[in-house]
Amino acid sequence: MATDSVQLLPGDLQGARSVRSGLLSVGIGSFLLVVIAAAAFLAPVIAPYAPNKLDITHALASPSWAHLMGTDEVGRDVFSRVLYGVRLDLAVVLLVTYVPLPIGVLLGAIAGYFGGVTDMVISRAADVVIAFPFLVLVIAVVAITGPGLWGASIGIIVGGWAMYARLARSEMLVLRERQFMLATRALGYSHARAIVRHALPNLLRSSIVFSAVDVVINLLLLAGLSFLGLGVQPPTAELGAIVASGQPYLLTAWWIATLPGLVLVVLGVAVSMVGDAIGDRWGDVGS
Amino acid sequence: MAVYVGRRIVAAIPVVLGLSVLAFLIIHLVPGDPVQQMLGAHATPKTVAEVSHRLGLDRPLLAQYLRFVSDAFRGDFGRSITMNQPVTTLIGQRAVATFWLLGYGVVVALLVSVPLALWSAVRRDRIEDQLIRLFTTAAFGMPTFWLGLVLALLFGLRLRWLPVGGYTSAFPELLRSLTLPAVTLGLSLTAILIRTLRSSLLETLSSEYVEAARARGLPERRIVLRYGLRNSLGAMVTVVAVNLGFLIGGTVVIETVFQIPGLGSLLVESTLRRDYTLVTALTFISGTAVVFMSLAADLVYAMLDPRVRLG
Repeated sequence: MATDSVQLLPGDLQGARSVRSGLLSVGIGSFLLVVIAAAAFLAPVIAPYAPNKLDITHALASPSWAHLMGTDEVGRDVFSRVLYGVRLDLAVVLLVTYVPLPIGVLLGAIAGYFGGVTDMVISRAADVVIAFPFLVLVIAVVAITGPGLWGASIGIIVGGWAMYARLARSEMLVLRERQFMLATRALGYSHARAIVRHALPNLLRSSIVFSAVDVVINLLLLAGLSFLGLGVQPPTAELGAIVASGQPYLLTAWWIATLPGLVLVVLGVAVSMVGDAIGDRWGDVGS
Repeated sequence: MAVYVGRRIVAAIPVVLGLSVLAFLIIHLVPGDPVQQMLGAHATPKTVAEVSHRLGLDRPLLAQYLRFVSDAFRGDFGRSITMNQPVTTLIGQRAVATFWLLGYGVVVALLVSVPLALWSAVRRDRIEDQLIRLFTTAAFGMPTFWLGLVLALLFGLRLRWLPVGGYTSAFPELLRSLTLPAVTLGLSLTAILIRTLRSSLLETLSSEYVEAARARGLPERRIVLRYGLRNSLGAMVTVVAVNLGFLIGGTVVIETVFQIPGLGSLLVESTLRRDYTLVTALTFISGTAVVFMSLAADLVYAMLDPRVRLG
């Protein structure tokens, strides 16, 4: 920017400070993420109780050393349920983010490469999907399949490819005019080879950068759907579903809804910090 | 301007048609017999056949679609089976609360975002800017339903300042009952709003005409407010409009948390009750609203900035 080029030295110093605080934020973000992910992965080992073990005599017990996050209305240990919940959420979120990514990138690449009617069909389809409020689109899919993890995952995948397609298409339009892409045609390579071998590696970078933001969106979406009773169904432990089950007890047993929610917040913020740093560093998309 | 408006409207038509096809297909993609699903296992084959006939499901698919589109165009979305009322009537009753929530939420979002974005841009890369950016990162990862519950617990149940749920349609009470939901909705939008506004301000403040204004010795305060903020208005209108879909998603969750009888909670209820006619109508209407809103935003932007419509 103009001001930076005029005041060279202060500009550089500001840049350095910005990088340093960026590193701090990545550090905190990745640390939290690794701790939570490791705890989730090891849930069967470190969880003090089975996630669905009832213990009516200790129902609605407040947090203590025996029950770090207290117990719920049927005496299940909230901390153990949270560990299993994070495990489920992380696994599903990775699936529903990284399954549509290659599909979207490939469709976008095809649209941008061929242009014409192919482009029009794919681009309009992406426009239609993006036009729906994402949550409403997913709920519409859940209306078809019935509430549950299956429907919610399908819904997120059905809506998820479109942004990647739009992103890849716009980059393909620039890419296809570049020398090496023109060379694939001069060399007589097939369209499939030109797209998959030569264009895709160049298109993936910005999609992967965007996926760091997408993971946050999908995590909140999945937990939100389960909170609404449309995603993961009780008694399966899932963060949004646990928070929903604690809502009636907000006054008498605040820990059931707020503590698992807090874990979700920390997880969401950690992923968001890492995602932001990736975006700042490798590309300016999706902000 | 007329050419630009015409082109934008023509571009929106295939999208709205696509929305109508997808919404129409919902009931037809249901595995098994959708009417049996809607009425439950106790319904006799005779009742199922009757209701199928009443919904027109026994007619050819194309005929059904054309009927759906022409009815929708006249504002008729059929009857809700589970509520036994016209869908349009139900939506009309519920729309008011959602409109107030959306409007109030956007006002809260702007009241928080504009000053923070200004401060962040003016103090670029300083500690204030870093903190505000950290706030946007954190706000982006915050689930709205949890934020709503915590606000309800703190300000509603503990401090008893504000009601924690329900909705009153009479005026002063309306604002009071919607304050916590609107703050929740508004805060969820601030992350995107502050970031966009900040980068737009930074771009404006480093442009040559701002340099010229500085060279002429105009006070910095005036430069930021008159030149910076004013030229970022277009970006602001666009961000709010483009994120209408995000806001609608927010109302779905927030209306459920605070038990507000709006369109969002209606969508959740009708999905759980398998009322496909209602889900179809709500899906189509919300998609169309987003398309029209972004169309309107483009037109407002073009009015504010002649380079868009002429370029």
